[in-house]
Amino acid sequence: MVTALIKRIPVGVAPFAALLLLLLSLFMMSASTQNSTQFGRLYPTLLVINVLVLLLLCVFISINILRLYRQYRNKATGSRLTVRLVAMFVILTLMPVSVVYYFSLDFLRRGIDSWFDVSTEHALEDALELGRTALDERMRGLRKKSERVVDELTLISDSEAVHALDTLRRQIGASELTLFSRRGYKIIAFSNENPASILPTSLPNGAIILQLRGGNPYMATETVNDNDFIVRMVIEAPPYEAAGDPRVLQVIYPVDRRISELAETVQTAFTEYKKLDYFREPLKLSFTLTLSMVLLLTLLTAVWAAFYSARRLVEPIRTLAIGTRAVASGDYTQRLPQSSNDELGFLVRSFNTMTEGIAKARDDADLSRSQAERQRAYLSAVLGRLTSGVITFDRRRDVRTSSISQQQALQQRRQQSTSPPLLRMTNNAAAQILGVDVEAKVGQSLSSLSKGHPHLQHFVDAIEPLLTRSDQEWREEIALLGPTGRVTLICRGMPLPCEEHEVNAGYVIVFDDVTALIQAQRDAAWSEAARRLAHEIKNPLTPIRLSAERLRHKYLKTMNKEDAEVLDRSTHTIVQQVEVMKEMVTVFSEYAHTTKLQLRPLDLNVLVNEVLDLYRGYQVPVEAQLATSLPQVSADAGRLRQLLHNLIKNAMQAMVGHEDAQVMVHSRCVAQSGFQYIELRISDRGPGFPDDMIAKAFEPYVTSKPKGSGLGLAIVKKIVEEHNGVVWVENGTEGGASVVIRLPTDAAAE
Amino acid sequence: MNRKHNGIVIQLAVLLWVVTLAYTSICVSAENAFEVRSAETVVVDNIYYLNAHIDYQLSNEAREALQNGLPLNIVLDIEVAKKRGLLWNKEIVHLKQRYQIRYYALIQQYHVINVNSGLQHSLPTLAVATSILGTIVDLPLFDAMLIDADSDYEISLRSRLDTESLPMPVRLSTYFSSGWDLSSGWYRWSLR
Repeated sequence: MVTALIKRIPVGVAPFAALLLLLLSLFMMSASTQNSTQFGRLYPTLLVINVLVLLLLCVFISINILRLYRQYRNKATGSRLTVRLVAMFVILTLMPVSVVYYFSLDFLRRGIDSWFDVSTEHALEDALELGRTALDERMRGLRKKSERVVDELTLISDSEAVHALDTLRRQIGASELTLFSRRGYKIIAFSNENPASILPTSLPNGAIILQLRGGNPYMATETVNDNDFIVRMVIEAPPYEAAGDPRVLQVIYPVDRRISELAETVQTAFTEYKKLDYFREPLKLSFTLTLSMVLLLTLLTAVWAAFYSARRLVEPIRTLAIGTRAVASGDYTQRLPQSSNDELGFLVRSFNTMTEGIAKARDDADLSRSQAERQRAYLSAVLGRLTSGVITFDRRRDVRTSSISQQQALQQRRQQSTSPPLLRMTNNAAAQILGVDVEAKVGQSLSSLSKGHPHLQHFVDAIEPLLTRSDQEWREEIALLGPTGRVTLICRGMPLPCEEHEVNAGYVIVFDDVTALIQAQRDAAWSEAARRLAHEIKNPLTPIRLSAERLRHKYLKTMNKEDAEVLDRSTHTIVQQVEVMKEMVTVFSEYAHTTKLQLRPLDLNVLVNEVLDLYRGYQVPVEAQLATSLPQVSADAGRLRQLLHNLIKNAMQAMVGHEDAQVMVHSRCVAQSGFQYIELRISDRGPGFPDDMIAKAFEPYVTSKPKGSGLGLAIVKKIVEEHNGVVWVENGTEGGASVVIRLPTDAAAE
Repeated sequence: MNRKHNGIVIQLAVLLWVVTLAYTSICVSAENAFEVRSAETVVVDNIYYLNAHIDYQLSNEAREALQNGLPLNIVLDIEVAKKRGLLWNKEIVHLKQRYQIRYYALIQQYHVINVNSGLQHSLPTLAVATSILGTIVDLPLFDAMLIDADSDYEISLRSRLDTESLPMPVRLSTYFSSGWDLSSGWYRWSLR
């Protein structure tokens, strides 16, 4: 508060001090104009100082005008207002000052002129003339006296004159008598009323001597010491006894004190009047000059003050305008300097408070946005690392314009509640499981997932009705038929917590591909079942067979022919069935037991040809179309042989009774997704697999044949999986079924 | 290119000529006003005396002021300086002789007063008064002891109207009128 006051003092005081000095200078100038002795000598200095101040002001004003012009041309903030204020101030000052100046000048001239009066001048001139006449009259009387002295001098020699002059001086009442020789003007005799003086008060000057030489005596009233008058007469005096040198007499008469005083008064009055008359024009000039100087200084100071005050007035408005512009362009850091305590200062303070508030709100918004971003990044990182597929849906549309009315917002919300849910968020696992770039479908409806991907139609159909269930959590198993076969998904859905007034805000669906898991569980269950079955059944079979053979052996011979025949047939049946069961148990244990593979690089074509050779001459012809130069595979030749036998037998059994029965074996090399496989396809011309069996064809005890263990394809699958391969079945478009096996090559394994 | 140069040279020459002319005209007018016709020094009894003849021509402005009762002060500046070759001269004596001339309307006389000595003359006409004023006889200047016999000395003499002693209103007009600029300019001669 105090420092602010101190800071403001020089700014406020400086112009006032300058103004005070200016006024003092003008006062002194005005005083010196009136011939005041103390300022008279200062007048030129004051004039120069004032002219300098004037020039300085002109320079200041020019600089200000130039600066303002530049600002106006550049359309600087506040320049227009400054121009208007300055123009207003200048006009307001100029008009009254001009009027005062005009009338002052007029009064001045009239005032000075009114000092002089024709009658006064005449009277003074007359008085002067009167004085002159009186003095002349007196001078004429004195001349006669002087001439008498001259006459008497003709009788007085130079040596007598020294004494005679005293007497003569007293006779005529002169104050001084001096007798000169005409040649060289040497003093012959001298007499003064003051006996102490030894020299004449003044000698005749050259002009008097010249006049005498012309034959005219000199006669004049003169002043001595400014206020005393004397009458000086210089007359040629004849020589003594007409033989000597010619002489000159100077007579000085005093003027009567009273007359002298009167003459002095007249002289002084006339001179003063004449002086005053003479001063008339110079006085007018000096007064006009002073007045003009005052006017100019006042005017220029006013103009300068106009600039100064206009700038001071406009400054807070200008800073406000600049601040407003900065805020409009998004800069909330602007803080305006507080200039005053008036309404403008209040405005500035309010502005500062406002920008502070806006800046804080913006910072808060930024903070919460960055927090949201962080949370979102965290969420997507978590989602990205999940092996479960996640998809979220909601019904919101992107509403970015905030200028919609409340009614419009309500209508939009109503539309949203009936519109199909839109995909909002997903993760990589979802894309992997579904085999679709789900990320690209974000913002689209659920049904768009199946566009171009018909295998997902079932998924869409299963999910869509569930999304309307907003109240509870659900769990669903969905099976899909994809390009890689049957896929089983476990889907769990739950509604997301919704904001106020919102219906069905969103849904999250989490799904896992449990195909492999289910398969593994089934395989494990079957293996266990087969192992137990083999174990439980195999043990009693031998005693059964031995018992049956013993019965036959002991009682066949003792029985009659009819009974023996029955016994023989029965025991035979028992033995036969036991053998069948044994075989079955062997197969089971084969399925259940995991034998250690003996992997060796081998050419699959060679193996296929070896196996097919065994089937030559069979009723059903076996054709082979093998690709040449297949890469080698690492495989257990024995297991692969079993696999081929199983498949060929299966194919033959499927075509029992068909006329054009034929088994075809194709082999080729396939490259897919950067991997190389050898594909083996065994096709028949049978009825093909029933649709409901295709998915479960490789499960144990799934068979379409009236005969068979139901483990053939299950074992095939097991062998393929032991070799890291895949197997699936296909129905041909013109009937018949194919079993497709893909085994990775050694090249792929590398 | 050359023609352009020539033009500039001619313009400069004309400007120089005009300036010189104006300057000399001012000087001439000043010389016409007061002029030192002759000046010399004589030594009597080891005292240097000045004898000089100065021609005073008063301008109309000065004449008018005199007629209206204003006393005019005329100052005679006398300087004696020692010559010092390449260096500037060293001033050893500076004298100021003041004279006043005024007109008394009542007795129609001009008064010439030597302010320094108080000697005064009453004269009937202005011409006589100025001739008396301009005749300087045996004005004692300085003692011969002050100067060096081996060195050269220069004496400068100037006569001028002292406008500073004029009353205020008139003094203001002296700044604006050349009629008041009355000065003889320096008259210099070597001391014997």
